Amino acid sequence: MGEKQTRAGKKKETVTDDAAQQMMREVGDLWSRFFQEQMASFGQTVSSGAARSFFTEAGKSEFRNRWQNFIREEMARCFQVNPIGPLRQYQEKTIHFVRAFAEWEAACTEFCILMNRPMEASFLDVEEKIRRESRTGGSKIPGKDLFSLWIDALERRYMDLYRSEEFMTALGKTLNAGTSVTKAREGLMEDVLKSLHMPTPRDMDELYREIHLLRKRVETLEAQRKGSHGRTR
Amino acid sequence: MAGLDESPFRLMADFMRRSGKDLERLMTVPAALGRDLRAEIGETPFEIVYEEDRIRLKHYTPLGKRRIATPLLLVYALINRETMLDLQPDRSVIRGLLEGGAEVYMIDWGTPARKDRFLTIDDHVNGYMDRVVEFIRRRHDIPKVNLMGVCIGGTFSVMYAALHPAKVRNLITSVSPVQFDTDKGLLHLWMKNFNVDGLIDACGNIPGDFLNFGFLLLNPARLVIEKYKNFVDNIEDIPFVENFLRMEKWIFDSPDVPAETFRQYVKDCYQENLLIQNRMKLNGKRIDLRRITMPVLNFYGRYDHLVPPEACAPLIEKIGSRDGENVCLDTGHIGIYVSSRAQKEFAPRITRWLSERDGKEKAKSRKSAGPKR
Repeated sequence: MGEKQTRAGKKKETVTDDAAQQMMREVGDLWSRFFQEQMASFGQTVSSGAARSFFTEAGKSEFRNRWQNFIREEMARCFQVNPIGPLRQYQEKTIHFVRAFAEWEAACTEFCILMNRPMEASFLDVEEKIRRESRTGGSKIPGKDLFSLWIDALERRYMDLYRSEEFMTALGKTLNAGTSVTKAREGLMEDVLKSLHMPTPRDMDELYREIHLLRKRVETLEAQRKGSHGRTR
Repeated sequence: MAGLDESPFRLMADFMRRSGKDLERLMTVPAALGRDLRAEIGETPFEIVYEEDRIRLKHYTPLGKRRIATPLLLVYALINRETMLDLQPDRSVIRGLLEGGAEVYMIDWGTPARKDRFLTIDDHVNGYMDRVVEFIRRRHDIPKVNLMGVCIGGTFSVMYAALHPAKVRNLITSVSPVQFDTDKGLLHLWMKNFNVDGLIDACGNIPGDFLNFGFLLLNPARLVIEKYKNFVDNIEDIPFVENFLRMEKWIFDSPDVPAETFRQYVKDCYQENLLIQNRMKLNGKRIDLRRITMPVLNFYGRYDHLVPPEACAPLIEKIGSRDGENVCLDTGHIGIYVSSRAQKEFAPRITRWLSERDGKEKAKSRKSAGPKR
């Protein structure tokens, strides 16, 4: 029995070590590729002499996919161990929290990338406008108006984004993922508070609800009493 | 000055040079904010005349001659604070109303705690608001009060006036949504499929920080970038900085919103649009807008992106009153209270409108010349 436990312990340790090493490799590789891509993009921008989107859509998309893959699979893999034993429910809650956190992280990344899109698009809009005006020999404008041009373009781009189905889906997904993390965290906190013999938020809410309902009953009874007194008078 | 006939890159270089100057100015911000600045808000004198749980009732006496016999009760929204109506001495709706001869009461909803999460719209409208109205009626020995609501406070006032028409002499609503089925405002669009149950399960009361973030998200170009650039550009202008700080103080002072109130507001109003269809219920009592038979003055902003005109204007055609008027001001959701142009238009129009209608009832309320002590 003791030998079995030792073996199991060793095996578990190996799994965790492997996963951790792979995770580190994955992060290193991811950042190294991202950095190389951005340097290549920057080089291209400089050599072409043309202002363009610094973060290319293709590069971003790959970066995003790999990052989310890493968060969802590699990070969560470390905790993909079926919980057993008397403490299993605590382990299960921890795993639930880590998974919820991974989902939230992925949703946030996607949301941030989406929010960055109008930024890039607005820079290109301004560039295009300047080019167009330059070609047609348009009237002179003060350089400081570039800021206003850009802000107007940015606002327009955000408004377009905000009305898109893609944005609303991403917003909903991020909010839902956020609430899942909060609930999972609360589950963990409840265990800690219980172990300290302290009331949990859920205990407090139950009490508050009872007080709220009691107050309403008292108000109703008082109103009824007033009414009946009025009638007898 | 850079010309558009020059290379775009010359323009960009100019822009970068300017950015450098901006950066220099940015470095002066900490020192500028360390100056002795006056940024107090809500400075018009008042006294607290009623308190219940987290609610306080502020009482303001007219500046000069009292021209409107019936006191005016102001109901602000649950989001942000009522200090918006008294932001600074030269931009104060409260001061404008007092100068117009009105006696003003204003509800301060306070800061909801976790224990308030079960409070519903009914608790606010038929509970707190009704008890405040009762208090004012008793204090002045009058049958009715003038009621004015701002934003959600206006929606609550519409509900109150429909449920208690005998207690409201005149109703004024300002940027108050009643028609929620519109896609003109982003909030209306986003709220349609908003998982409000999930949020409440996780958070309880809706955190003020969450609401702040949501409002900034609505227009990051203006509210996150342009606003602070303007601030840095005007860092040497002390009155500008003081006004800016007042607005910052107000805008990020967001109390949490009681969970059940928020849930009902999102579901019944934004998602089901029950109010305008006379189908919304508070504690089993249906709100029928046709029971609003008193005079109604309904303000909204032409450029209001939070509560667009389409969400406010339909009120007048749905009420039972024949004396209803829509007033569209050329401003936005906040500008209606703080822009210098609105200052000249908004409060004076309310006091004029009230005194025209209050005069008819003056004889009846002669004994209500002031509050009983």
